[in-house]
Amino acid sequence: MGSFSELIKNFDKTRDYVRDFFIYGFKVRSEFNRKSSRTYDDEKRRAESWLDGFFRYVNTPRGKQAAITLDSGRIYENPLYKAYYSKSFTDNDIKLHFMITDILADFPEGLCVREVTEKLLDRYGEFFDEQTVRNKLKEYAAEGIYISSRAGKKDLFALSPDTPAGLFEKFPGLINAVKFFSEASEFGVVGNSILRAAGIKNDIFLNKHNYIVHTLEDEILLALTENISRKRFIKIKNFGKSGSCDFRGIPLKIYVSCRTGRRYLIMYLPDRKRFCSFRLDYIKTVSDMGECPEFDETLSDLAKNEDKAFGVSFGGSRDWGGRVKIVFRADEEREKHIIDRLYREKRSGAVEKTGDGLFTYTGEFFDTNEMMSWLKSFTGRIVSVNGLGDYAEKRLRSDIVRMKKMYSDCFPEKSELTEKEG
Amino acid sequence: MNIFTEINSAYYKAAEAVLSLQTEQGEPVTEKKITELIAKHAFKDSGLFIPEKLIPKGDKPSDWGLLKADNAVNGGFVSVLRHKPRQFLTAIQKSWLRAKLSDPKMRLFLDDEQIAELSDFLKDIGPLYDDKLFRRFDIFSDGDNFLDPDYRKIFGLLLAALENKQYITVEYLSGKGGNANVSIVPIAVEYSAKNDKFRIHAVKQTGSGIVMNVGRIVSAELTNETAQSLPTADEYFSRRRCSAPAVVEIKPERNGLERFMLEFASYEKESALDPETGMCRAKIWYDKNDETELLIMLLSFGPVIEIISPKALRQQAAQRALRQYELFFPEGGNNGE
Repeated sequence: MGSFSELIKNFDKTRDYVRDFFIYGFKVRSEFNRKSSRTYDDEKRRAESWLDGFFRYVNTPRGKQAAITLDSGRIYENPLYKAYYSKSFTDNDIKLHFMITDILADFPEGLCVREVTEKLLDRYGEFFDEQTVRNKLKEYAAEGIYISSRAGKKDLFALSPDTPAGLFEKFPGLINAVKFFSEASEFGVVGNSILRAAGIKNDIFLNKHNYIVHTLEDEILLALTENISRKRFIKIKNFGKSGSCDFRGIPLKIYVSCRTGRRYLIMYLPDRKRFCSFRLDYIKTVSDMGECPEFDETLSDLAKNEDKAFGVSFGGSRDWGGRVKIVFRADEEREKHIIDRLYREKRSGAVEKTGDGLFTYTGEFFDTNEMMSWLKSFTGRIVSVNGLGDYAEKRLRSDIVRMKKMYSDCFPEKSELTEKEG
Repeated sequence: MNIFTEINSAYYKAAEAVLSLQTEQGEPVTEKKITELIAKHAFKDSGLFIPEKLIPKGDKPSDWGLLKADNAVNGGFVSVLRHKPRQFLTAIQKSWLRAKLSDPKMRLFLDDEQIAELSDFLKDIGPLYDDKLFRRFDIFSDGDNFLDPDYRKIFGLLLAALENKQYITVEYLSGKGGNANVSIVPIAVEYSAKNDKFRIHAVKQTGSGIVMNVGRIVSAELTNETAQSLPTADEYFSRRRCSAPAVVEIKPERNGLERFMLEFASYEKESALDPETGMCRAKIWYDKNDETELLIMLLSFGPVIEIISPKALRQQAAQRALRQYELFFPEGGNNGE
């Protein structure tokens, strides 16, 4: 067992632990049974360091409960971005990072690998073999920090002239843009790294529905978007509730729930001949399995089907799909906000006024189960439902009966009704 | 391209801060100063790890070899580098900016000419992602029109007022219909990905807080008046916070607990699980003005979540449940099924 390090090689374990601290704020040490308690202690210590001030401890009869608690709508910088700044490195990595850059600052025309290697020895007394130096120069050229050019048979490396400070000087309005986008859901950490490099912090923009934990999926998200853009077959390793499983297929889109912050990969599985969704926080690895000639055709098939997905389900083995017709009640004069809600929150399908104070939503969906929680958010307004299927309709009605019972103390004068329900 | 790379390491950042300070000052840095810079730029416990790698002991160079002891100043260290370390705009950062250029919201910050110039600057690099790959399936359809010239102008004026702590007079569509005028100093700009709208949190001249949708502002004009004293954002938001948290009980059915924890992840909350019953009791802190939104979210769980308190919130849930019951069972019993 090695000693504790603040730095990590990869995100695999970290993602799971932070998510559990963040989401399941009621677990105690003994319930984190994935790995040893040493792993738990190390992961907790790292998370505490990144989320300094946001950890809360409660002593329960089951043990000490560690949870992350913060109002993420009121924070200007996602504290979990720090996880991205904790990549482990070697002593040589950091030496070469600063020393090569220092050398190249004196040679705007560029130097070749041998010249850089010699200067490392001359200036700093540091001996490196040429291969190590070449690898670092190429790595930094790929990262855009150095510019490589060819001079005869030699590759020359020079510093990139582009700096965050220079960019902001040229485009002052971009400072606020980067402040804003650095907290947005798609790869905000990259924007944060620009601000950090320029010594700027976001102090203006807040995000109301801010699900900060999902930033830990951004590495997976990038691997997926790259593969989708390059029209590749992929294999994913998925850790769902029933354990680990590999899936091969054609990655097509990323579905995002703005309401929960959850993100899903939509992939066509040729073995099953169907579209399936996979939560990004359950995907551990993404492997490129080669070119996919059927990509465009499959994507246009998805486009034909997208309108029938209320959420992320394309139907299952059970037949939960159908044409739904739901009638809502709202007073047109006094309750315009309800009608506005219907129009803006409906997905595909149509809302029409069908009577005095009555509005009907019709649409065809693969999985009407996905509508249930949205539908229940209109509790008190639903006049009738059709097409949800017997099971869902019965459940909706029995839920309302249960809710009325649950809150029966709030309307004692209606107790007679409660008794009738049995 | 990598998001997770040591180039962005907090340890590199701390080392860079030490080397930069020494180069700028031209004087040796002390161990105390180094410790301060590590605390500022790296993690909570980094003071236990970085100094032993960065600071040489005696004549022996340190593992990172970036500092050497200064012979003239006892206990001082100087950089081995000739220059102050530089920051670069990396390929992934450019690629990210390129992707954001396609976002209509970018036009709230740059005018069309600047957008064209920035596009030209980034022309050699592809976007990090194509926004068409994303489908935000539950986004509200009445989001703000970020391309509207008036909206862009108003947004820019609001930002200027915020940055300069300057009063701005805005004419807005009030909730009751008709237009109203008010002079405000913006405190924060809030975006909701779900609503796809911006809101402004501001303070009026009377000192009271106000929240308004940017989309409801018809016109805006900066005044010459600067606010003398303003609440900090923390003070402002703590005034808006509920006096007591909502207490809810989540029943162990339909995966309710996980769904609740995920959907309410953005709220400050505290939860306790009863291992005997599997019930979870959670306290949720919320903005008083957003109580209806909270109620709607809780109701969407049906009977899986019971609102225990505050009484008024429980009462509202009860009334809606009763109204729904009466719609489903107009005769009062279960005959309607």
